[in-house]
Amino acid sequence: MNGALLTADHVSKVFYTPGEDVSAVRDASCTVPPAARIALLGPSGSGKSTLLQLLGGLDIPTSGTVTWPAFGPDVRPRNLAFVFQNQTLIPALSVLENVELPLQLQGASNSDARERARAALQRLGLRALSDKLPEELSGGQAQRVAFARALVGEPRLILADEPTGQLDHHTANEFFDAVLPWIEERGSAIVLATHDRTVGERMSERWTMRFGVLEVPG
Amino acid sequence: MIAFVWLRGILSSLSGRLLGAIAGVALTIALLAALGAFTASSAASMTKQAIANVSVDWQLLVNHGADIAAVKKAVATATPFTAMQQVEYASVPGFELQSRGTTQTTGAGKVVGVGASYQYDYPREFRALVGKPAGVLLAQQTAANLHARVGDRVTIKRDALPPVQARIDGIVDFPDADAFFQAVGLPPGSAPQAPPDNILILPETLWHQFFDAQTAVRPDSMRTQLHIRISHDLPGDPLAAYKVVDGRAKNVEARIAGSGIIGDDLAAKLLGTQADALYARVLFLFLGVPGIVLAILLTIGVTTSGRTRRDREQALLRIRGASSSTLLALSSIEALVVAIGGSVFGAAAFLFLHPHPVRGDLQWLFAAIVAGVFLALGAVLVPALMQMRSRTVRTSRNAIGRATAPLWERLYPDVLLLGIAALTYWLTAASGYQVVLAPEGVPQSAVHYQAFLGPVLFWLGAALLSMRVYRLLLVHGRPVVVAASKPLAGALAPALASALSRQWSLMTRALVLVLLAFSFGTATAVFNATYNAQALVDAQLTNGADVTISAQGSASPMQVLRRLRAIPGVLAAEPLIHRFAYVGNDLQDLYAINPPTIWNATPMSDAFFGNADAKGSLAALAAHLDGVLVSEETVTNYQLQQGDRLQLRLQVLPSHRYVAIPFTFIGISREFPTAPHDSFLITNASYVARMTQNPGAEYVLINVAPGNIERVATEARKFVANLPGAHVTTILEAQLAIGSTMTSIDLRGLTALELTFAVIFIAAATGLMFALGLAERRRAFAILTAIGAKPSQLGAFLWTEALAIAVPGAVLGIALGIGIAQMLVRVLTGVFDPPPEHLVYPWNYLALLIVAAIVATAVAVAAARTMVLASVTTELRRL
Repeated sequence: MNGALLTADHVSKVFYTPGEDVSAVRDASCTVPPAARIALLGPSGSGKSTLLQLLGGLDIPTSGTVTWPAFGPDVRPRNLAFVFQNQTLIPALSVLENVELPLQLQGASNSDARERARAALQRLGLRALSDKLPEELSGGQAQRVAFARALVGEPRLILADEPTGQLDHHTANEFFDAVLPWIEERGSAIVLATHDRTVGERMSERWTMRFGVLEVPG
Repeated sequence: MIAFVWLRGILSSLSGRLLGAIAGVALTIALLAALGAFTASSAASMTKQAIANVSVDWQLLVNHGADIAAVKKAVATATPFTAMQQVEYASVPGFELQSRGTTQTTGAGKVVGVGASYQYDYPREFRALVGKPAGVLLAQQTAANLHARVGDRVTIKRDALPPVQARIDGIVDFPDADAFFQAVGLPPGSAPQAPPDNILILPETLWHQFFDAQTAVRPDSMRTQLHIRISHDLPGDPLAAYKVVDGRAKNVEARIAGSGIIGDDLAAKLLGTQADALYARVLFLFLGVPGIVLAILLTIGVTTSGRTRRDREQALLRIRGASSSTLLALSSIEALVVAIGGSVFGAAAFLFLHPHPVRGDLQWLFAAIVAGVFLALGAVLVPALMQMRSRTVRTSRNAIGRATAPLWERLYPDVLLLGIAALTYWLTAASGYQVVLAPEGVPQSAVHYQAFLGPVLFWLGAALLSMRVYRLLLVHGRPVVVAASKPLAGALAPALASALSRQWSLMTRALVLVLLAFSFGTATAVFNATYNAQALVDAQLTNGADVTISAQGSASPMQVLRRLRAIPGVLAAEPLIHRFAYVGNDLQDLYAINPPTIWNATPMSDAFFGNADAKGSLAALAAHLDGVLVSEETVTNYQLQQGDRLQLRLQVLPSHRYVAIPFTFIGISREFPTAPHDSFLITNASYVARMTQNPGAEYVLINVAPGNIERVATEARKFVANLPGAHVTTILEAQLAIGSTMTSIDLRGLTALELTFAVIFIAAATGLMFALGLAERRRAFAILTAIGAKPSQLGAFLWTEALAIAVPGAVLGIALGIGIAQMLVRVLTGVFDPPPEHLVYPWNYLALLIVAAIVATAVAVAAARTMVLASVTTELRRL
């Protein structure tokens, strides 16, 4: 598709283990257009996380190709950001320093990184937590900080792997109420893996994953 | 069942941490056993060397009228022996010799009667210089006094009897005259008796022919001794050997019941060796124990680095209902694996180093294994127990946290330890650095162990102070850390500085291990290099130079000086006049030199001179033609003041009479090549030659290019073959011959072992500890990669963190090591002879330590980078 952020073409991933070979993703093909809001639905173990890691370039497919036609050579963190299910803040850095990190990896100046990180935390109502360490945050706070870290570099695509998987329903809704408008404002695309249909309902498009097979409607 | 599954899991996974712990225990066992074996074997070799250095084990003085046959029988019954010779001593009023128109006489002397086989049994008692080695033999000094030559007839004056004459067959010297003519039976602590000035040796039949009559009229002037060499099948420990020898001597004295008394030279020598054995133990403690402490700390460092893994395992086991006792039992299995693995590999390493162990070695190995098992149990079980008790998540995460000073910092033990170190060091200095105390006449030596406290406490205090300063720098010196990180980490420097400041606990622990490893390696290497250099100085002092030619009388090696200088490999050859001079009634060795050129032939150390200034002292001597440097003892005894005029009596050539020659006292000499340890004089060669009308030099000192000593000595021996009584000796022979001084303890085995271990320790402290620390934080680096860090940025992050530990650790460790070495050398000043002027730095080895650290760090960083990049997705799936 012309102008697509990401294209996966017949992508498969097999994990070779001593007992048996596990096909986590089977012949998946998809395209992510700009500003898309896609929910990747499926039960646990269906291959959602593996597919997201393949789409984000964190893992290499056994066969098939993943390309990012709009990004050029600089994929992460400038154009593509990840949010994970588990706590993935760096424990030795404060909230503010965690959020600054993607900007520093892009080579931003210290003052610029600090200013933009503060703005991102402000946007998500986390400014008061700036100096806290990750271990001092609640689960919901930590995930919001992780999203702030993902969004601070204004990436064009966010791949979120069950970011509210460990939160209760109410907290998860609060989380999306805070995060999704910001994503929309930025015009970033998001592919959000979840097994929660109500979360999926908040997205404009829904893909399904079953036993490693990706079903993309239309 | 669960224990079996757990054991199978441990063995099948064989994690780096488990292998590291096994290696740590193995290193501890190997080092402890090897050091123990060194101490035991050095004591045994010292005992052996001491026994070999004793010319006559026992000199049994037989009382007048005693039944000599019965005494001999009693000796044979009490102890196995390999030689027993009867020696007769007769005191005579003097000797006289008429030759070439003059008559020379001497003062009182001794005439000794020995059997034909005496020299076979005791070849080192007297040494032929000119003429035959047997028959009527005149001592060298007596021959010089009488101007005697081989073939002359010497007149022996007798007490209350007419004189007799004997034809001289040879001229000999008595290298061990003090022992040969010792006064047997003096109480301990008595002043030693000087050997007689004039000595003549006769065959026993001739002696009896001359002196049996004197025995009848002056029995008090006659002595009979039995010179006995007992069986040398003795224990290796010098004290144990002393007890055996002393016991046998007492047994003999009991059997002969007043018929004689034993001068037990062997027991006396073993007592002296006991002090040397204690020196070896001192060295073992000074040099070895820090290595063992370091090996233990590294093992504990490895086992405690698995905190996160252990937390996870304990949590999972608890969820499945495991009780505390089950957790402890499972940890015990791991401890057992570490203990068994460490013991096997440690024993193998020890046996590799000692392929032919003796019983004592195996005893040390057994003791080391027992210690290793305790270490394994402690290193694995204690952290597991502590974690079991700290059940909250918060307490288990104290490796990363806010910058609260740890409790120990608030108690200032570092300042306290450094203060006590300074105090004990000062007290040791005030006591004259006497580490080993060997009171005269007391059959026990003691080590002044408090002297250890200075260096040991300095080591600990400085290490703790370094930890404090490093923590303060990480936590409060952020701008410095950012600036220092910038060249490698670039834009990530601020994040890195923050991470380091919150990981201060991990960082300071890693730093102190690197610091201790470097300080251990540096202190050992610098001390060893200084020690070896000093052993060389000791040998140089004994021999005089690399190669020394000595001769007496008219056969001066000056005759071949030009030819000696032409030998390829000879850098310089300088004559050294050696005469005897009377200071009052005290006969002292006098050495006359050419001050501006003596440097070319032999090193002139500042320690040789009272003003600690070799250059200044020799310049002063050169400026005062009649100047003389005298020993401190002489200055004290004769109440000398700088500039005093001295009348020294020297033998003048035409008349061979002692004539008073004026000298000016200009300074103090403490040591000099070839000179004795007590009193001697240093003067100008040109002045002595002119005033005595004798330009001949008794020594030629030769400085040889490295690696040419043996060859030059061989060539020199050819040139002096025709000079009667000339000898060529080398510094290499002197090194072998030095018998009972501190620097004779062979440190090569010990230091080679320790220097090898130091390299391993440094590699382990920098590489292994860093790699294990990174493995513990693998997830953090995986997150860094997941959010977009490029491999180069990840590498920069890892390198900066590694260098933040390795560089200050190495710099501080080397500085601390040099400080420790300086303290060790100062503390051991009293046992060096002379004390070293400065430390000797083994640059190649220090470079090797740094290279080992760089290689280990590079390998660890590369391995960690590869590991992180390969396991990003795996790590992100983990809880």
